[in-house]
Amino acid sequence: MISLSVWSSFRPGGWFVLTVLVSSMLGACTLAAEPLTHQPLPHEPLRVAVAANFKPVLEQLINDSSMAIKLSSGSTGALYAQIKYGAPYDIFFAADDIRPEKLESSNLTRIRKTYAYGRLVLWIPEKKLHTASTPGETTLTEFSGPIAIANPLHAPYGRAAKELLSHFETNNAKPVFGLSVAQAFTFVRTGNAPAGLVGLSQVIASSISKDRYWLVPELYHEPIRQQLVVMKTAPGSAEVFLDFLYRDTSRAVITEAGYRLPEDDH
Amino acid sequence: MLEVSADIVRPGGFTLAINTSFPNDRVSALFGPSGSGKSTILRLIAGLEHEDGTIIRFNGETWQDGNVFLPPHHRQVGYVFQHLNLFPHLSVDGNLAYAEDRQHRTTGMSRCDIIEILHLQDLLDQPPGQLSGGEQQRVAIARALLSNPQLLVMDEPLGSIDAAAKDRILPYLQRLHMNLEIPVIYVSHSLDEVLYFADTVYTIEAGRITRESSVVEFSVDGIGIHQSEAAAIIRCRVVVTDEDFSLTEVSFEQQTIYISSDKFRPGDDIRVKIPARDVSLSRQRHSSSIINVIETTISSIMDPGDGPTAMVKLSCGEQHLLTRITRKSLKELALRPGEKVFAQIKGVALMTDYER
Amino acid sequence: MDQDLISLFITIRLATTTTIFLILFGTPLAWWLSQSRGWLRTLIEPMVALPIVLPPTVVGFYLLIAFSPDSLPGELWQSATGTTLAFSFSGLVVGSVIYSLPFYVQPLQVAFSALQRELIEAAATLGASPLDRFISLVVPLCRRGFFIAICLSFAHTVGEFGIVLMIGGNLPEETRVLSIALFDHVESLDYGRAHLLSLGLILFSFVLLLVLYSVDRRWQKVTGVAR
Repeated sequence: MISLSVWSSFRPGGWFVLTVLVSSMLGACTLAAEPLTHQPLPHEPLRVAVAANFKPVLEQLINDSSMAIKLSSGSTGALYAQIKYGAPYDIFFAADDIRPEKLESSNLTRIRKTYAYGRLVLWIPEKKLHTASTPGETTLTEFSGPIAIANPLHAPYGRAAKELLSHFETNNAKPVFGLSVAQAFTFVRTGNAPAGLVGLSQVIASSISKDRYWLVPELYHEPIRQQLVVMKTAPGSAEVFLDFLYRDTSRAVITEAGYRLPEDDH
Repeated sequence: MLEVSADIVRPGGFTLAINTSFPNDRVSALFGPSGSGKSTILRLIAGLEHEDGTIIRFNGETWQDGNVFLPPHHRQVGYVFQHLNLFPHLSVDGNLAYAEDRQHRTTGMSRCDIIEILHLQDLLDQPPGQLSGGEQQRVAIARALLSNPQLLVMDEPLGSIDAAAKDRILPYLQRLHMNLEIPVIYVSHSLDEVLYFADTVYTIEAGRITRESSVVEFSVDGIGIHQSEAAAIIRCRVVVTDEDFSLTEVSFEQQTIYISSDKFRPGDDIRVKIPARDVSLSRQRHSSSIINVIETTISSIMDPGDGPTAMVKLSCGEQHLLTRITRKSLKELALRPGEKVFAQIKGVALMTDYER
Repeated sequence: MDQDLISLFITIRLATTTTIFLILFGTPLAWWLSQSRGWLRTLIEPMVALPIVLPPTVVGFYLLIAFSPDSLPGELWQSATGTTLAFSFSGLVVGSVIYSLPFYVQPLQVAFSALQRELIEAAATLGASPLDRFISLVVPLCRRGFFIAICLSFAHTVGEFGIVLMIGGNLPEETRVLSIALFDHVESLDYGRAHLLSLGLILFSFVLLLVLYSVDRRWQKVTGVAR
């Protein structure tokens, strides 16, 4: 980018600029390259990435822990890609177990464990209903119209929803796919879909009354196992946070938010 | 009969206040300087402008008044614009066909006649962009005629054409004039065109019509002595054609004039224009190369008092001639109204027309 | 594999349908904008241009709300057709028409404005009614503007993602357009298919623009008018 003519006319200045450029490039390479060599100082905040649906819960827990933690959220897929290509996170809370497994097999992690199980609910808001009763097992067979679910291809709640639907004779229910379970929720929220298969945590967070949804028994689908990974380059404070996470008070918070706890299988 | 009544005031100072009728059987010319409102009148007639308070009636049919407004495509007004406006995406033939396909009615000049009169046979396949200004204007006129209008308006049709081309087109307009049976309203600020083509002249100034007269009267009285194109229009009758000399003898107020055309037959009534600058005066009949010498009486003298020339109006029988002479000659010849003088008409190249 | 082919057809069908609606509704709008001088025009013109500057997710979000049976437009649609506007091909058409509107209207409006008014007046005096004048004169003379408008709005609809994402529901037979299919492949880590689809889209856009520019240049030479 520095053309030859500019270089020659700014001989001393040119060298200076060149030096600055080269050293900053080297520095950038160093930063972006193997984080293996980077050891954050103890009082630097922990960098945590979380899948969007767990974010509110994690925020509360971080608050309770009073640890210095920087939180970023996004879709599991996007965060996975970023981490794989070098984003400097210390802990990653995914919404599934597939991406954490992949990171582990790429040799980037030192811990992988389940932090919660998501629960699926069938939510039918009280709008223009044909049934005023609380949704239940029989609702799906009787139901006709669009039913919003997350995309089964890459969203764990979507996969679970699809599995659930395969158990029933749902001739008239037409699944409509949201990009994520959050979008599925929006479809129902805005009234475009009369019903949706969404996360328990979502209906709890939106204070939706219990008589408007049916908590889907886990026998109808593979458990929605949400796992976290601790990156190899994370400081010791990562384990400190994990200990906090598995304390009883924290676990209560997680349960209240609408997740099932892993049965002490570390 | 076309009746036009308008009272318009526009921001910026433009006003138009007229209340006139234009007879059906002739060419009416609107003559005046730029900005006097001539084009606006034409646009109102055609329905291209819509101003409150305007009343337009044609042959008893109300085109426009307080309640009614007939849009332009129903008015059957053929319009020849100043700036040509041939459709660029069609050939000449296509432009003509455009008019033909939407003909207002079935009577009117035939396509063959129009093409023949305006000499368009060789231009039919060409795109308009490749024609000269004069050729384009002939096409524009033909196109307006092919829609068989009841009324033809022409807005400075020769305005954007150079002088040489103008001279070539004027004869076409002449021939049209002879063949047209519809009224024509012709707008121009060129005296030459008006004298050439018009039957009645309406002088318009600052949005008002200040004078209405036949072209003959207008030529002699209405022009003003500073106009370099001042000319007299006279009516003559063809006597005989002298083929040896390629001259035609015509009688004018019991005198003889020779013109250089050979298109006429004995007995034809024709109109001749004689520019004031082509007429000189003398107290005696001289033997000279000028063969057209007419006995006249001085009718009036318009001497401006300054400047080199003065205009003298001569009468000959019922008709008049104009001559422009230097004030010096005026003084030296001691010319006075009522005196007899000989008018020498230089040259025999005179524009001619059939009298209608 | 088959599914991607279906997505291709859906995309082409969406772009074609949208373009047809744009021709029907956008043409009179562009004409009015080019001829009008009133205050209404100063209001409508920026409204038409809005989708250019707004993020598609914003437009899509408000469309989602508008389509809902709880709001008036959605309710009207539901009572007329019995189905929701969201998650349907019709919904995508509505969204695409709104979102591609400025890409159709603006080039056309420019072409119309450049037209000499006197040509149209001449046609009127020759007996052409307003509709006749439009078809026989305005359309052929503004060919270039129409061509650009159609190509741009077609291409824009093909590439649309944000709107379809918000209101489409990703239905494989109805609303899963190519751009969504592409996104799905990326999310599912099926990069091979993702590359295939992207290259296809890039190639299509490139060819379309190539055709657009060459035809345009050829027209300039023929008519001698750089309009």
